[in-house]
Amino acid sequence: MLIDYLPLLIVFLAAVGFSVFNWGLSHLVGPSNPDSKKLEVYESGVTPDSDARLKFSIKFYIISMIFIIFDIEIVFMYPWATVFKDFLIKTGSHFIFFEMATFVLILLVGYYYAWKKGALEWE
Amino acid sequence: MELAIFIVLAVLAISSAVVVITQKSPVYSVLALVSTFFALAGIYVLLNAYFLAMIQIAVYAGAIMVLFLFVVMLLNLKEQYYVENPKKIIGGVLGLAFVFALLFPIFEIEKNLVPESQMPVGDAYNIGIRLFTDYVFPFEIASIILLIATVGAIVFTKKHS
Repeated sequence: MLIDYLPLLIVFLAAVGFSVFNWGLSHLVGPSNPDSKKLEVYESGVTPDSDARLKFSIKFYIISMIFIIFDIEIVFMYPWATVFKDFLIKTGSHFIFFEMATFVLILLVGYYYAWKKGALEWE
Repeated sequence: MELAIFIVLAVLAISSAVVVITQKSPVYSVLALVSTFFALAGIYVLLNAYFLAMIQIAVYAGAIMVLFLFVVMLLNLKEQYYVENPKKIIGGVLGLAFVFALLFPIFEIEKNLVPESQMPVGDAYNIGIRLFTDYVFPFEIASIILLIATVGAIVFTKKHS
């Protein structure tokens, strides 16, 4: 079972190795003689007039919070979809459908609330 | 072989967790936490909890870390994140208490360990079977918790008009 995950490990190591190799090679081989002009944030570009760390709008937070909530909803749907067909055959009832219907219905209340409160609007 | 993988993952998890609490910049802390979550996902794979490992990467390393980054940027911390000593001591004591609280169940588990060959595989199918038969009620409770999270996030962030 664990051997099934070997390709995943190889892809992961290849991704890390690729970036480390390229970064290390350019660090080793590339010439480095910095001066104040070259160390500017946007070299040959627009001169920055403020810090990069500016305050973000709270709207980003609401959107990402709502995203996570519906992300977790999808997480529950994944095992549900996997067992759905076997459940119908083995039990012969549609109970599993109403389980998920209740789940989604409760979350739809939250969705409706977010919609009515204008949390999804980007004015 | 499995022990070797576990040791690599455990060292990675603990060392990046140490980086999380020693970094001065909160953005670096968040990035170190991402690597902690990846190492934990690897440990879940070793425990046959394949579904949990995927969720760990998709939800924690993906979505929740984005939320953490947003919060770090919302707070816009610059030099104010130096914590005074009394707060550090209180935090340390609470952290140690939490570690001890976690140690007790670990010793309890050791008494009745199940051999790995008898352990059920935690893939999406087996989780689905258990979740929609024995654990229907916790599953429905989860939707109510998510509903509370939605309402809470909107109440805290929306301006009262």
